[in-house]
Amino acid sequence: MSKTLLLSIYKNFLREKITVLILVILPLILILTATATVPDQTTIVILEGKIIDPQPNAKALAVVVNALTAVAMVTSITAFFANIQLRKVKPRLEIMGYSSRQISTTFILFATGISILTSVAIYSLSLIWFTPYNSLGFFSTLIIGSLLFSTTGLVLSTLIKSRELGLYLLLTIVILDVAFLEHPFYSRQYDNSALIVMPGHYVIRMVFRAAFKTGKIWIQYLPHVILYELFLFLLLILVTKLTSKKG
Amino acid sequence: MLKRGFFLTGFTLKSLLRNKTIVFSSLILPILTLLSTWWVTVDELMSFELQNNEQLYQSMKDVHILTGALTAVAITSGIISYILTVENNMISPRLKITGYTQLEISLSLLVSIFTILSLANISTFLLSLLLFWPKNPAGVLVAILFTTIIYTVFGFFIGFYFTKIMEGTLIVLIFSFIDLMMISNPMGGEIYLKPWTKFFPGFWPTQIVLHAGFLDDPFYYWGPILWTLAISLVLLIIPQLKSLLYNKGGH
Repeated sequence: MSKTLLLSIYKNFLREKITVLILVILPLILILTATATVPDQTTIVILEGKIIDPQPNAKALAVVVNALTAVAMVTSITAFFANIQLRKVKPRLEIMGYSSRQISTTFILFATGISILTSVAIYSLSLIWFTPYNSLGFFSTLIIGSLLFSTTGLVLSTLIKSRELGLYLLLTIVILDVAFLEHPFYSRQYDNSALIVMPGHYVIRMVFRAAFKTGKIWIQYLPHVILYELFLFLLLILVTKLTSKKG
Repeated sequence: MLKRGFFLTGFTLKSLLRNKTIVFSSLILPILTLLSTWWVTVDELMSFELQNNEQLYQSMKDVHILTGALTAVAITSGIISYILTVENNMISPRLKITGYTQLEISLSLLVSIFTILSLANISTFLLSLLLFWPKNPAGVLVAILFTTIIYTVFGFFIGFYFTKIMEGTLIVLIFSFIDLMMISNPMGGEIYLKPWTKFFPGFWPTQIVLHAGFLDDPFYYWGPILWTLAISLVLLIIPQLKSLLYNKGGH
């Protein structure tokens, strides 16, 4: 891994207009919309057939869901862009003497760095409106969610050659999954086991448990998330191999 | 001239239908949005108010199907017109060199957008009718049509300021989702019907669709239609004024 290469990737990324849009404006809009649209009262949420006790505040619940949506959007889009950029600059970097492994590691570190940075920013922003029962758990689940959605972004950017279609599909999946299908306010199916195919299904359960329950109960879903991440990773390797063969 | 115009329109339409993003947004996205809305929304009664102080007590599912149809149409219109504006800005200098006039280029673009969006509108309208039969189906069609108009203009507007397709796509998608699913939607709770929300592109078409869905009063539509046209006009004029003032011919 080259430090200079990593720094220059960060510098280039931060210079783009879209970076401000996805790192600052998008999370801010999502969390502000959650606080502005939902009343400040308790609400009933059923998770795995049981009512969450004590009943969470509706505004806090909306902030939690939108915080995860923001993390998912920002990290998946960043990973999506990073992979496209990697494909574009790889041949030039190889001419400059960087090995293929060095370049890939640097890009993975870049995406991970952005995931952590985004999670820290969104975690701090959500703390303005509510205090989670398990702060460390809430923060950790945001990071776990960010890594999972980063991989989703990587898979889609490898699978779909058209940049616009890829971005469109990615945003449709993220919005539909986290902000709609798994949202307790909008969806009556959010506890439906058919939704396990969606990337956000277990992560959102972990976030709820960390935000509204004390103790380590949120960890219970970690194996499911790791399994899903593993599946995405294998898919990524498979798709990369297939597309490189085609190329 | 007519023959050349037809050729250019046919060519533009063909290239549009080859664009996977456009096929996805005009056919697959409306189906995905409406079916998921129908599947997940609770069939419980909700109370909400319309802009003309009419109080309604209707199924949340039906409200969501109607607003979901508008969301799908808004995203589709916004994205298609945005992509076409950006692509047209790149292609039109080359077409002019080959002998086409600006009028021919603009007309072929408009006819192509109209054809694609008509297909998207009809499919969304028919699917929404299958899921919920409104009091006034023609009113729902009017709402879909005016959502298409205002978001097509919104796409042009964003295309004028954001030439990078990634940025524009992101802005159009997020803005239309937040506008129609949260700000202009009765599901938006506390924010819904706040005075400033009436300047959002989705507000008036949403009022028309809710009116058409649950009440039968076609005379009410005139006000919202005029508001929609006024907002569209403002969105259309701002970039033209800017280009006139700075004399940069578009950018």
